[in-house]
Amino acid sequence: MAEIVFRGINKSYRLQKSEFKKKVKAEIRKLKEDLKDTFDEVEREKIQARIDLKREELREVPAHELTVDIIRDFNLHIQDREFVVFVGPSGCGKSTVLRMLAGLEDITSGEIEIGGRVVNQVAPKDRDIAFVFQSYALYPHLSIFDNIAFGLKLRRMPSTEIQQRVYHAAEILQLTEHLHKKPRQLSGGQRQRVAMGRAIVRNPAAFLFDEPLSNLDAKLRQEMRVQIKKITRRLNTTTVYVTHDQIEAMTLADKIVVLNRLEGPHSVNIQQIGAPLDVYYNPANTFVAGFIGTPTINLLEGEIEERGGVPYFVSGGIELRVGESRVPFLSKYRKKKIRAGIRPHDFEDAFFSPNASSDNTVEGVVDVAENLGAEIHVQLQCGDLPLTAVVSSRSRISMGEKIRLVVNLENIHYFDYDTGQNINRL
Amino acid sequence: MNGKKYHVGFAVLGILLVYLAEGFLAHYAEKQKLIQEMVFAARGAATVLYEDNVFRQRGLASSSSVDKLQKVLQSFAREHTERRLVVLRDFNIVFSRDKAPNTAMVRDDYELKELYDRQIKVKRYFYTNERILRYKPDFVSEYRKKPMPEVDIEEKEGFLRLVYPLTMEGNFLGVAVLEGKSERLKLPSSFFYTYVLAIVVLLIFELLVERERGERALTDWTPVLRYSVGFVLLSAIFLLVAADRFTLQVMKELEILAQALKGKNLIREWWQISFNEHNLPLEVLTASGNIAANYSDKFFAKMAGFVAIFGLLLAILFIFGLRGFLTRRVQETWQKHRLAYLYIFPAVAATILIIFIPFAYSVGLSFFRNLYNHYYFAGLYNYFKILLDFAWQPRSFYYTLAVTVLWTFLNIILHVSIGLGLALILKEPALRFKGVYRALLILPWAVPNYITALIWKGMFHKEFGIINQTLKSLGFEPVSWFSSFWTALFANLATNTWLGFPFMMVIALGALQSIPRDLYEAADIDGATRWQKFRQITLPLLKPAMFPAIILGTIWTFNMFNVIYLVSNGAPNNSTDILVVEAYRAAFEKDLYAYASAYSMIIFFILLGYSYVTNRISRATEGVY
Amino acid sequence: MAKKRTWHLHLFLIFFTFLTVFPVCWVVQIAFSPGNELPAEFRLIPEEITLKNFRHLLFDKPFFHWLLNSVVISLSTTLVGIFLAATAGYAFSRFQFPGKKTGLMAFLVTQMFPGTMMMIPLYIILDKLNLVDTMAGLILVYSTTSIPFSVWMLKGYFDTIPRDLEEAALIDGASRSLIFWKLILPLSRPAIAITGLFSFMTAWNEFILAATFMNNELSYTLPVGLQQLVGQFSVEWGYFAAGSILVSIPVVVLFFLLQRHLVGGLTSGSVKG
Ligand SMILES: Nc1ncnc2c1ncn2[C@@H]1O[C@H](COP(=O)(O)OP(=O)(O)O)[C@@H](O)[C@H]1O
Ligand SMILES: [Mg+2]
Repeated sequence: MAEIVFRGINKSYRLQKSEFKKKVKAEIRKLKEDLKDTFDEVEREKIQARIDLKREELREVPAHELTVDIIRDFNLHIQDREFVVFVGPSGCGKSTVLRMLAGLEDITSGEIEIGGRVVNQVAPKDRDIAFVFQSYALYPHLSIFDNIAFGLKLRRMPSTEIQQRVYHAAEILQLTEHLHKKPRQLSGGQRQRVAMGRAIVRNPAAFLFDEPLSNLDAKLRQEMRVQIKKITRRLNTTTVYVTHDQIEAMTLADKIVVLNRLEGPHSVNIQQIGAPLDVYYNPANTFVAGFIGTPTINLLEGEIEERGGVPYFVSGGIELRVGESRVPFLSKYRKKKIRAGIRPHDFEDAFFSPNASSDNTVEGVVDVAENLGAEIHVQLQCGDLPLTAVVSSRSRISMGEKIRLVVNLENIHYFDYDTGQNINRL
Repeated sequence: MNGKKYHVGFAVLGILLVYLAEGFLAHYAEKQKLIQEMVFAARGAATVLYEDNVFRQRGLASSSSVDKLQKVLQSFAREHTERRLVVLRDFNIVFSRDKAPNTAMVRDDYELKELYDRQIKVKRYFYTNERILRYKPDFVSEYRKKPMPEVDIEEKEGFLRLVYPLTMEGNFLGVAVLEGKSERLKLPSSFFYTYVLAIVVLLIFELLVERERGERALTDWTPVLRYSVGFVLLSAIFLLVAADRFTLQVMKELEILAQALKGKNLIREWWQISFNEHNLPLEVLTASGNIAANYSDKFFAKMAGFVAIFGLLLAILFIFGLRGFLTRRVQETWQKHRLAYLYIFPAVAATILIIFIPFAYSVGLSFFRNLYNHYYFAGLYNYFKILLDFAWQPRSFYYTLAVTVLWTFLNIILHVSIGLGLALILKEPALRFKGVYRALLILPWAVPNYITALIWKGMFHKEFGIINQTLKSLGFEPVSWFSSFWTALFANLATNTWLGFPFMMVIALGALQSIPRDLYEAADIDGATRWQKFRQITLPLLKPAMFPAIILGTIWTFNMFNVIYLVSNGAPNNSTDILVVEAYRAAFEKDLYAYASAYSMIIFFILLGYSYVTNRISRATEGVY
Repeated sequence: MAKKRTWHLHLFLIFFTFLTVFPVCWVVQIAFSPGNELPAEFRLIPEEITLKNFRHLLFDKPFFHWLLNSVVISLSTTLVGIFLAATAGYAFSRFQFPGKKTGLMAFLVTQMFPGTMMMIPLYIILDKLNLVDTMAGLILVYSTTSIPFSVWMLKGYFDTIPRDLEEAALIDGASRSLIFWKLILPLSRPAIAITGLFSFMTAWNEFILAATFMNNELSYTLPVGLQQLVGQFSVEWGYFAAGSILVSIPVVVLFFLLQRHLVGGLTSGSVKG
């Protein structure tokens, strides 16, 4: 049984005063650039406020306790044999959590449990886990065989069993004819498989992957993704997999954990935990909505207005009736600012749609249309609003043309303007 | 956190400290004892001489009196077989008893000179003291002179040498030089064990108490206080006992010495000048040669005082040390980084022992002045003496500094330009025999540099040197290389350039290797010329590797002792000496160790300032950490 | 592209190589000439070749004693020096700990101490440790004086070894010391070789300290023995030249063997430094 439980994990680094100042200054610089790119007044004010806060921080650097929080209040329960994917933008602390789980990084506070045992003070080698690194971390001076066998040898396994296990793993991974070679003689994909092999032979309670595919080219990445899925299904072991690639997350995971950087004093890293489709169809907040799904969701600012007792979402040139399923949650938002999220795939060319009406259509001018064969990605301009839509390639769309699109009203997500939370979760 | 472990740790630390401190104490006590003993002996000899009226006729004019003196001294020497006794008068040895008896007075010049120097020194001391004594108030206030030590004492490799003035009625006649080997007193162990005992007893007590109490907050003061107070009290008791025993021991030895002088009528005049500790005998002995009544008490008080001060210091150290160690932060740091500290420990320990302690010693020494082995505190005297000497001539500081800077600058220019030039050529892809050239060009690096220096000195030899021979065969006048500044500098430079360019070449080769090819290809496509590529690509990308090498090279060249010392050796007239060579000469040719230390410190600070400034400018070490 | 003409480069290189090799040839000539003075003229091959100088050195002087001393001292220095520098360099490269920056800076600063002034206190310390006139004393001093440079060099090299490797080994079940000995050291062979070469050279070539600390003719190292030939007033050139050749050969051979590493090993650290 290899359940993994994270209980209130926090992680912070102690920084030298000078390093801290450097870091804060870099952050201020970045915020200032954001400020330049942003034209939304409210957003600008928010950014300005954050800049002021940082400046304050810089002025009053405390003499001691120069700590920077990376992970805050991380709670997660991973079932036995579950395949969990941590996904989030780079720098959000995915690797940090994984490395804490592996014992490569110490935990500032909180508890991690593997298989019912608290492992905070347990050395990495005694946690019964295997780790696959992004860089593969193959020992350059050892042959592939020795690379795979290294951990087994250190555990003083009899050599016949080592042989047997290594050959077995090599067979699964199609490495048998490379066993005598050195890592530098192998291609990227083969090295990746060796790294997997090293994990497999150990027969651990859990596999940990840290962006194992990000050093491969697109085609190979897809192949390996399928391989990983096959192998982990076959071995049926608890797996924690870190990636910034949402496709990997959606395809591999039993459960996705969406993470983000800490943004304020009370924010936490975990944005949403759920099954892939759940995360897609029911994003907890604007961040998750924006992060999962390609092309990126359209986030529109607007207000809820009543037209004859029926609530409408109004924004710039757009007026859309609120879907039946959303109405009960919106009672508090009459006449208030709100954000709506519309996935590009929820648009449809009005020309082919039987139920087009003024309630559910938007009109715009096509800026860019990219025909991918099966579908067309359209950038259009609805009044002032830029929108992205995906329509079937039946539509003949050319640039500069006017177009009418039908929106699937039931799939529009509404988010609280201030907190960014999905209103049906409030 | 386990409190016990810390108690054990501190006990061990304490014992170590005691052991170290005890070494100093023992050393001091031993020296004191030896000095006393020798003063006794010298005074004894002087008294004997006086009694025999040898010096009644001033100047030892008649040969018979010299004979007589010889006889007396010989008899003294027979009584003290393990001592060496030499009597000097002006520059003549009146009497000598060497380790090997009856050998003629053959010594090497150096030793004799040393004795003469000492005689002169003691003579100066004596007359200074006489003057102070005679014209006391005025003289002292006018010149603020301190009384000088009456006897000169030097300690060298376990031997103690004592130079004692033979005087009469205010006139200096000569010196008696006594040398003897010290025997170790049994003092140290008794002191050492008393402290150890105190600590062990306390430790056991603490452990018992702590076991009752269980875990304790890390910042709790009570055990620390208890520990310290207990330590002071307990050790005080032990120490009083030890001091008492030591006093007894010393008194016994004194008794033996006093016995030797018994019956000799000690005349007060000989004991008159009492400015310092060397005149102890008057306090110790009465005029009849007996040990003074209250001496043992005084001695005991003195020892106890020493011990008390030492114990107190130790206690203070304990209190603050423990307090510091018990803070959570220090403990956490240690816990967390134990492995790192373990890894650096061997190297750091060795470096401290072999590099930093000698350095600290030099720093300390630079605040003293020395006449031979007599050191006295002089504050910044040496520094002022060096830095306020504005004369523009060889051996003066600023002149030498200018020469050093010139020397370093020219060297670095030559090393870098030759090294870089060769590296660029050796990178040429179409070139053949690269390996051969490279191997041959690195050769000078492998040759020990003192050999190189001597060989080049030979090559620049005026008559037989290959360079002058070549000049001659080409029809030029041979050059006398070491008789003018610029030619001598040229000889030094040639030697050091031969020695130094391979290092720069290798660094440049390595740095060139790390420049990606495609940068040049991109530049080719952009139509850059050779020179543009060099300026825009090669130079900027070489900088990060070359800059530290240049800084290091500068430091090495600035301190390049071997080449200057062995090739030109400062010729002509020390004009080509650089700072380190001057420091060396002060130390080993003039015996001015303290002055030389100050010199070295100045060199060190110049280099430190240089690296700081260059570092600031280039940020060469950015990103190292 | 057509094959570039390189004869002018060759000309340039030959000129410099000649300047480099010339003093060496001169010494060789002196060593094999019968006289003990500087020769009257330069000949690549002396008129009369004789091994007299070498014979004198090898059989009339305790040359083999000196050689043995030098070999023992230099090899030990190399081993001890590598051990000290590698452990410290590893810690400086891999661990974050209070005092790291200070330590590294302190090592750098030691390069600025004028060496000659350290002799007297060093003598006192060795004397207190009863190490004067012993090989152990010299080994200790040599291996320590080469530490700062070696630590910086090795640290630079260790920095280029990815941390992932060590973490992978940690998870595989290796201990820190096993990682150090079985992973880091084998992977840093080029840098270790260079460090070793420099430590070896320090010990093999050093002269002043050895002359100060060794008082007995039989405990001299080669350079000190060689110095005996360079008297106060006259240099016995023949012997000196022969001795120079004998002393230099091992280092030169080592240099040629390791020069491949020299170019990479030296700069990998300093490129980033
Ligand atoms: N040693 C460290 N000191 C300070 N900050 C660190 C350190 N290591 C990582 N970080 C910070 O922690 C954050 C999370 O890093 P990481 O877990 O690697 O992100 P991810 O893997 O999600 O890209 C980053 O913002 C990084 O800057
Ligand atoms: Mg990462």
